[in-house]
Amino acid sequence: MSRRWTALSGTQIGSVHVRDGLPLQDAHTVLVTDGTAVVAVADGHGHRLHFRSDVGSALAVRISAELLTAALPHLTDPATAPGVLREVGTQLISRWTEAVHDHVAQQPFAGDDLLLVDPADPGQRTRPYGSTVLAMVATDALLGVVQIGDGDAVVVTSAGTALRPVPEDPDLDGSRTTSLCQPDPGASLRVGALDVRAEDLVLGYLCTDGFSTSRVDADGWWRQTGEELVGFARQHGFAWIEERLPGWLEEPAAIGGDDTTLALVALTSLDPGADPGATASATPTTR
Amino acid sequence: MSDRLGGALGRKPLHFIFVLDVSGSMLRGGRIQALNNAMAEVVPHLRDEARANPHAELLVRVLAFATETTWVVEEPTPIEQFHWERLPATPKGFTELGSALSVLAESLHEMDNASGYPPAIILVSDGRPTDSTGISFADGLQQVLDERWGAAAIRLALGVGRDADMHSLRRFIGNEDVPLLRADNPQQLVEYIVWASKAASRGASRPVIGSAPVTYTPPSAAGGDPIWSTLA
Repeated sequence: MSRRWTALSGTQIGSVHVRDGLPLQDAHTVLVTDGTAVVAVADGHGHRLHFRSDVGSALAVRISAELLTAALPHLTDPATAPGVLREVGTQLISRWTEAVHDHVAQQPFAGDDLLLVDPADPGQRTRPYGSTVLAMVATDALLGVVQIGDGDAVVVTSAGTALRPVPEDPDLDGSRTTSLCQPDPGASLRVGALDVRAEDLVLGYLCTDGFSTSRVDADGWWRQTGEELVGFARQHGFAWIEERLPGWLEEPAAIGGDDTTLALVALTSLDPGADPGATASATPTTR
Repeated sequence: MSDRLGGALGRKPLHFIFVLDVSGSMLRGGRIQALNNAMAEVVPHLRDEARANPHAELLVRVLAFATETTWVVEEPTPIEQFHWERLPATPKGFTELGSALSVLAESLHEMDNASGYPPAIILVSDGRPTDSTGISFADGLQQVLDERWGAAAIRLALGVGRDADMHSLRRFIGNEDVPLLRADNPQQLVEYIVWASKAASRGASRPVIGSAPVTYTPPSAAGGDPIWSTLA
C-alpha cells in the first residue's frame, strides 16, 4: 500500500522584531498533492543590511516548493535522490537570484536604501534579500531535504527516534548563518534523502532557528520535538496539532526574540481519526 | 506527555562586565563620586533594557582596578537584584589595567563552554595604564582576546578627563566602528555610561545578526563644562 503524506506549518513573529519594528521575516509554505507533500521554511536575516529579507524568504519558500514539486517524478529512489536534490538546490539558487533581480528591477533601491547597498555592485544586489532556506519533500519512497543556512531538518521513525537527514554545516557558529545571498551559496548547499520504508519514517519537520535557540536542552530538543510530534499525532491527530502549533511557536518567539517557524510532513495513517480513503488537500498554503 | 512542544525554554545569559578604574587619580575633581553616581544611575536603565530584551537574562559583574584588581561583584548577578554600592578610590593607586584585563580573561575562560550571548564589557578609565605588576596593557588585552568570549565580546570604553589614554582605550574596543567617548564632567560620565550600557546590551543580545556587524550611534554631545580637562 502506498504511503500518503499530509503537511502543516505555522509561524510567529519574534519579540525582538516587534520591539525593533521589524516585519515578520520568516516564510513558510505547504503543498500536498496526491499523497505527496512538500514543505519549506526560510528565515530572512534580521540585520538592517538585509532590509528586504522578508521578500527574500518568501521567494525562497515559493521557488523551493515549486522545484521540489517539479522534481517529484525523479524522486523515486533514495539512492539517486541526493543528486536530484542537489540539482534542485542549484536551480533554487539560480532562480532565487533571478527573482531577486526582477524584484529590484520592479522596486529599485531608493532613498535611504542607497546608504546600505550599492546598486552598481552586482555582488551587493542580493544582500538586502538575504535568507536561509530549508525544504522537505515526502514521497512514497523517500524523505528528502534541501538546505542552505541555519535551522533544523529532522525526520522521525515509527518508534519515535529522530534523525538528522542532512550533514552539519561547519560554517554555522550559532550567531551567523550561511545564506542564499552570500557570494557562493552553492558551497553551503546541503541535501539529504532517507528511505521511508527502510528507516520506517513516519514524520519529518523543518524549523527556523527561532524554535531552537532558547531551548534549555540545547542538544536534545530536536529529538524530543520529533518524538512528541509523533506521539501527539497518534494520540490527538493533525487537527489538534494544527490548533496548538501557534501556541507552541509563541513561547520561543517571545523568549528567544526571533521569528519562529515550523513545518511538518507526516503519514496520514498516524492520525487516529484518519479516513484511509481520504485525499489530502491539494491547496498550497504560503505565508 | 506534556502538550508543550520541544521541551523547556530559558533565557540565554548576557554577561555584563564593568571594568572600573579606581586609581588615585580618580580622587581628583570628584571623578570617583561621579563614577559612583553614574553606576547608580545606570541600574534602572539596565533594568529597562532587560525588560525590553525578554530573550536575555542580564547578569552583572563589576571589576575594579588600581594597583590591585578586585572583583567588587564577582558572582554574575541578575540586574533585577543588582544594587550599586559606592566604591572608594585608592589613594596613590596605580592604573594596572593590564593586570585587570588578565583577571578578566580568567573569568572569560571559565565561561568558555557556556551558552549565551557574547558578553558586554564596559571599561572606564581616567589614566595611562601602568605595569608595576608585570602585566602590561598589551599582554592583558591579548589574554582577553585569546579567550573565545573575549574576542566575541561587545567591548566599549569611556575615558574620563584629558589624561585618559584614548589610544589604549581604542585598542581595547578594537572595532573602529564603535565610538570611543571621553567624559569631561560628571553629567557626561552619566550620559555616556548609560549610552554604553544600552548600546552594549542591544549589541550583545541581538539574536539575529545576519552577516553584518552591529552598528552603534554615538550619543549626542552632553552638556556641562569640561571641568576634568582643565584640572591639572
